[in-house]
Amino acid sequence: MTVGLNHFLVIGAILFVLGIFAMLSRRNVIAVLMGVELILNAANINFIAFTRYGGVNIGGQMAAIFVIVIAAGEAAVALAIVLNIYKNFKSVNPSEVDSLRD
Amino acid sequence: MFDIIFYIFGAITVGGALVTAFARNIVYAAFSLLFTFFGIAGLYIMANADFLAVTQLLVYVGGILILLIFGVMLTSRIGTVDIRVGTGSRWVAGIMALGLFAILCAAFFGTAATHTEKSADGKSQVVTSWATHATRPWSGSKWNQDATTEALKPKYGAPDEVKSNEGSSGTSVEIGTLFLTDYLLPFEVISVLILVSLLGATMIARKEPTKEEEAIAESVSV
Repeated sequence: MTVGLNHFLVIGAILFVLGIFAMLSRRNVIAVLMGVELILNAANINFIAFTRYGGVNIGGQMAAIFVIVIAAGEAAVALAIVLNIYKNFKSVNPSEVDSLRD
Repeated sequence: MFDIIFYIFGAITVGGALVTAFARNIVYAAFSLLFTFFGIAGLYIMANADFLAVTQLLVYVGGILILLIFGVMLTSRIGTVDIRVGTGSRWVAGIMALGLFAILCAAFFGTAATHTEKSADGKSQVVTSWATHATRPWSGSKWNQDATTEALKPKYGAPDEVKSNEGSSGTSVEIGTLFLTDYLLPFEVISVLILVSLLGATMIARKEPTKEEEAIAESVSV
């Protein structure tokens, strides 16, 4: 079976569900962020696959570039927030961070 | 050959993602993410997205991954903590993920893909083909409806079978042109967004000055 659109889509789907699993089953905020990165990459793979096989033009790659930029911004802000949470709670476990005030 | 390389990159990607999702130690998770990002860059190249592949390496491997590893090292006692939740929650998460995967696969394999195609008399018509069939590559795109496809036809057959993009200048030219024409407004908006997010990140992460430091700063400014 020659590699086609569906192969790319299935790899994207695998990355997506692994990202969801990582987000749901982690006790460390940074590991949750890794799950988010996996999900963003899954979306990018779909964009690229449809650019190549789906009959859309290069607009899919443009969308993927915007996704990458937003991922970079998200990682920076999220890491800053995580560092602050660690400073205030001495923990990065999302279940223990359950208070909005000191 | 294309298929073999695709499967190698796919295996690297999925294997890295599996370790990221299941590892007990967060440092293993972070470093396996490196393999995932490399594999994805390879997949981009397989799909003729050369500019995207380089961007992926620069931004993800060179930036985001380093940032994540910094975060790991600044927050946790490395190697001593099991980062997984309890077994019960893990089962629930796994079942939800598997169900989602089944739904997605059902959608992929049950959907007919359509694309427009010029028929012999010059009229364009919508053609339906099942997504399992590799639909006409590059159709509808300016950068590949060039002479390359035509020139490769006698050698490789109809565009359906054309896999190579040799002779093309790559996607950088087209992407650069689009950024300064059709996508100018999104480009500007996203540059403002990244500027604001970086400034916000520095604001949030900076250390609160103590009373003494504030006093020193005031005396200096006066």
